[in-house]
Amino acid sequence: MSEVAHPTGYKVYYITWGWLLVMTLLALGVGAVDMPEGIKATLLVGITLAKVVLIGAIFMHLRFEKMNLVLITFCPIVLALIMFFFITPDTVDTATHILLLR
Amino acid sequence: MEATISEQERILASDWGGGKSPFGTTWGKFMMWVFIVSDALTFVGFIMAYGIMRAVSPAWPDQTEVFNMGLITFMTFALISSSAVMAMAVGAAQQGKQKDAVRFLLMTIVGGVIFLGSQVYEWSHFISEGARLDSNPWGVAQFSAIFFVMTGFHGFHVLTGIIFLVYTAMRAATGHYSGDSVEIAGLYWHFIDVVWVFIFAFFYLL
Repeated sequence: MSEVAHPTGYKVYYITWGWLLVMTLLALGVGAVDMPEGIKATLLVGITLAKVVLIGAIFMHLRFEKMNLVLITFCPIVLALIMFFFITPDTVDTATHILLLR
Repeated sequence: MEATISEQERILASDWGGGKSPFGTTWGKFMMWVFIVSDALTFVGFIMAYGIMRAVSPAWPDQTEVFNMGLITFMTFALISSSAVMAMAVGAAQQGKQKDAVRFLLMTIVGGVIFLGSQVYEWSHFISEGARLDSNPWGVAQFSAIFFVMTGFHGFHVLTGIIFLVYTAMRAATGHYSGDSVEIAGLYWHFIDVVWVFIFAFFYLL
């Protein structure tokens, strides 16, 4: 059903595999280095999204799918951002929601 | 009247006029995508709940002191590798290479079993150190709660995926398979990998 022929060899999968492992090591490095939480979070989100795009495009063949199907797969990420940025301001600094140390 | 007929013709000629596939994919594959998107929303809920807990918690345990990061890295390696091999299984199935498809599917299953076995070890170690769903020795009760819920739910998906892959491999070994059927199983397996990528970065590294 795809409009473009799928790859016939395994080379592209080996290359993607290698990149995913490199990015995993990079994420480990970012996690281990002492740096401001905001910068660390931004870097980890960037690396994670890059890995997800690689897996989606190459392993899940999204690069061969129609754009309407590709856009549907982005729904959870968009909803996640809406959920986080709408709920967090209500939660932070609200005395009743501050978690107590046990 | 002429305008109405031409409007009907326009609609019938469009992707949504019936008898066509607006998403350009097979029914089975599209249903798997719908399932993946809906299932992803569940994990989104967990990850956002975790994010909010982190945002409002005055302290959070240092994960590198609690968990064996070597084991977590090994688990990540096993799952990413199994995902890559799964993509090769799909490629082999689409080219009609039955032996290759079965071989790659079995390798994917091995990767999944290694991951799940490691997770069982991690859980048992965590529990033996005193972690419970409602309390733990590291001070923040929500730390172990979100760990058990997120990794437990993900582990259940891995177990389901392994069962799905065993069934697909058995069908492929007996010749009852198509590129599409292996790809549907592959989509589910890659989704499990994607979820772990998020858990690995946000729960273990951040």
